[in-house]
Amino acid sequence: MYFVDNLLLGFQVCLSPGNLFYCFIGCLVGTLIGVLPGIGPLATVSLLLPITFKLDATTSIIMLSGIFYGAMYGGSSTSILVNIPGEVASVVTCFDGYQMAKKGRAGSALGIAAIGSFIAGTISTVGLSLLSPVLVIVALRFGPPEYCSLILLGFILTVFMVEGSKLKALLMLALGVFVSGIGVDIFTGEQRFTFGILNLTGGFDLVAVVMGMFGVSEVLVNIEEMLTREILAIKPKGILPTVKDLKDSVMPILRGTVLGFGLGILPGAGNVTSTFLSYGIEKRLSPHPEKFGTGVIEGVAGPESANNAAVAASMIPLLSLGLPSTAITALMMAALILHGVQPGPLLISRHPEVFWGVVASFYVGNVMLLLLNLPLIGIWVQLLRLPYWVLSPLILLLCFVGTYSTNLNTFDLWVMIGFSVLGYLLRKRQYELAPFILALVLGPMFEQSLRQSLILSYKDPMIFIRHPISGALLAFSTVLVVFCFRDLWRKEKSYAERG
Amino acid sequence: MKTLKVFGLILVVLFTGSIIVDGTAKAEEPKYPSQPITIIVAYPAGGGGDLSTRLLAEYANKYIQGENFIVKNIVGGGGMVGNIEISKARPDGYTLGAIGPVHVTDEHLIKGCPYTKDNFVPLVMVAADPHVLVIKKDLKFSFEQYIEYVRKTPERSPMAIGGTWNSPDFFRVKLERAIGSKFLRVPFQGGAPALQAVAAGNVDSSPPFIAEALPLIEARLVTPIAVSNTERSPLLPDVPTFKEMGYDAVQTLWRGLSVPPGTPKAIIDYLELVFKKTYDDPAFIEKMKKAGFNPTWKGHKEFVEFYGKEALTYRQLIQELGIEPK
Repeated sequence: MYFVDNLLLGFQVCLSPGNLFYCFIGCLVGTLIGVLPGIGPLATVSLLLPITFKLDATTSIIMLSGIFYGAMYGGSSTSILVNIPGEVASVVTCFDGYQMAKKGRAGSALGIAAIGSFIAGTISTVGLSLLSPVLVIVALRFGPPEYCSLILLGFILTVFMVEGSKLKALLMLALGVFVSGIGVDIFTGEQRFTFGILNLTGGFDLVAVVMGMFGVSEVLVNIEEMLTREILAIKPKGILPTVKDLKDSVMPILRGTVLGFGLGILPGAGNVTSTFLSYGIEKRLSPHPEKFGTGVIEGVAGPESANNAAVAASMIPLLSLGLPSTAITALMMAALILHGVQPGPLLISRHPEVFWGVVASFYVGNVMLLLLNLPLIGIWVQLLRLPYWVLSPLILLLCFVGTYSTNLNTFDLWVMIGFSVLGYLLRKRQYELAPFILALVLGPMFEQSLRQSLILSYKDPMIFIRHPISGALLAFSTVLVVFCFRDLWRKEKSYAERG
Repeated sequence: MKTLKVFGLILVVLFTGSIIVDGTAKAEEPKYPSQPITIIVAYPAGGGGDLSTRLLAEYANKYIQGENFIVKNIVGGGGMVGNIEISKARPDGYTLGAIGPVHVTDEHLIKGCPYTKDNFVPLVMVAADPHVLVIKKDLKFSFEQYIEYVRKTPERSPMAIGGTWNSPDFFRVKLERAIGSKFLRVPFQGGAPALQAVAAGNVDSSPPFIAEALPLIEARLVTPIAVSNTERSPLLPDVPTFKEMGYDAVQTLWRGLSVPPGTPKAIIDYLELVFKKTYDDPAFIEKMKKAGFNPTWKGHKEFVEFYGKEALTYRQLIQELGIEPK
């Protein structure tokens, strides 16, 4: 009853007209910026922070978190429509979402993304309200060796989920880890592979790389196709998912939710990893794994649910430990503190109206987003009717503006152009880009947790096995590798024979 | 087509916005300020330096007639790209920079660093944040017991550091010299993960900023040992300073603003007055304190002197440690 009482208190707070209004504003702004690549939630939240000084604490967080999960909803739209991930967490949505759009099923993909996000958001909010104190303890169990083994497992799963050559995927993974190492080594302050280019001391900007590899290189590929043959105008079929779509998506959505929620509570690694893992798992479990990458709905439903579940879960370390896991949650923490509310283990007992008000606003916000996004689908689908010679400059413009607006650094534009060429060449040679991006995102964390573990164990590698969670993760990885080795060998030979 | 219009509108807004920010006045106008004043922050939105600058700009807008301060985050190269912008700005009073200790240390730490401390003229300082040494809760040590423990086990007691040759790392060095023993240095990417490692018990200790550590201290997930300032912090009135315990380990991350060299005296005086008025606004101080900053005022003259002293201290420390620019 304790829980129900508290939640009722939360709804009382959240359903006041003022809070409801700001919740709506947050969701609306979040959706809009999610659709515009580059202009991400981080920049928006920081711009809006001063405005919240005039509001009270609960209202500010309700609005700011609306922006955060609204952007996750919106981020899928550009992935599906034009193959540009609105943020890194929607990279995976591109794989099948964009293929579906090419087949005229953009409406189904967008619909499932919205519905999946809704279900995942709602379920993980329940999880957030019920389990938050317990989960904090679990999250604290994750030290450097656990992170290291988890990321390793993520790498291995990603290689296996790739449809084409596993060796090529492995190569891309290695390249990603290498590129992620460029910049200042945080252990020694040494510059690595910067060749005296000062702009590289902080490494490559992730948004610029993703934008170039996915967005711009896609335009390049399409233009080439346009020159050699005429692209058929896409005729959108229906704007809503069919009953069969829904049936196919139920389990992926549920699995994605659990995965996203579980990984989302781990500061730092959760969001992006969960989307990749969800995609990999759906593919393994699917009766038709070979169709993944050609536009199957499960490939959209799972990862989209995972990233939304992860957003709700990432509020757990923030609200109950006062440890922000991302730059956005760091800003939200700042907003809370400025209003005199100290996030941390004592938040729930000291400011129940804030905690439960925010939790209740998650429920309300998810309903709002669903209502907001479903009608928008019709509009987005119409966008695809534009001829490609109109659409492609528009996409390029978005990529350039989006990349520049992130850091206001012109060097990022060159990075984007460079990686678009690389992306184009790799695509031509059938190299998968997914392992590269995953390695680029998680590479620094992998390296750091590896080196931290070894420092802590006074250079004894057995630390990875002695820690039970880490040991279990490693054992699972080993089984995966051994299990698939023969299969891998056979396939590789056939690739070699085919050339 | 609706979307097109929305995109178009956003582009127009963005472009006009950038013209307003970048298009400096062509003809010399006698009145200052006659256009918005940009404050460049070389780090992404959300960090400490960004937040304190945003608060300052927000409240300073009240005291500058007819114009506005605009905070612009120029990010890249671990802060160098933004700092180069600050160092190359025209000395017309329309571009200020947010500065801290990195502006005196970069030239000694980074090979090919294109700016030195002299490219930044200190304008005003508004905060100086001390560190608090926290230890994991399983170690039920008092201050002296912990120091004794580290002395007995040199290079064995792991300390999580949120980065390399930044304020927490320099603090570690100062503390090591004061107690005459070494910690096992474990770098993390930023203060929050380092602190988490202490709360989780993966490492023994960490020297975060007080604001970062406060929630975990209050919940008794980590234990505060001592503060790195000359006086106790109002946020932790019961925690002693290293100085009063007899260890010379004073380290604060100071935050202020700079103007480019060659800025007219009249403009410096005017800006100093504006920020002094802002600092005297109780609402501003209250917000700064709530955000966990330790408001500390230094006017232009004082700040220039302090900046020079800090530069010297850091240079000596870096030389003594034998750190080469990398």
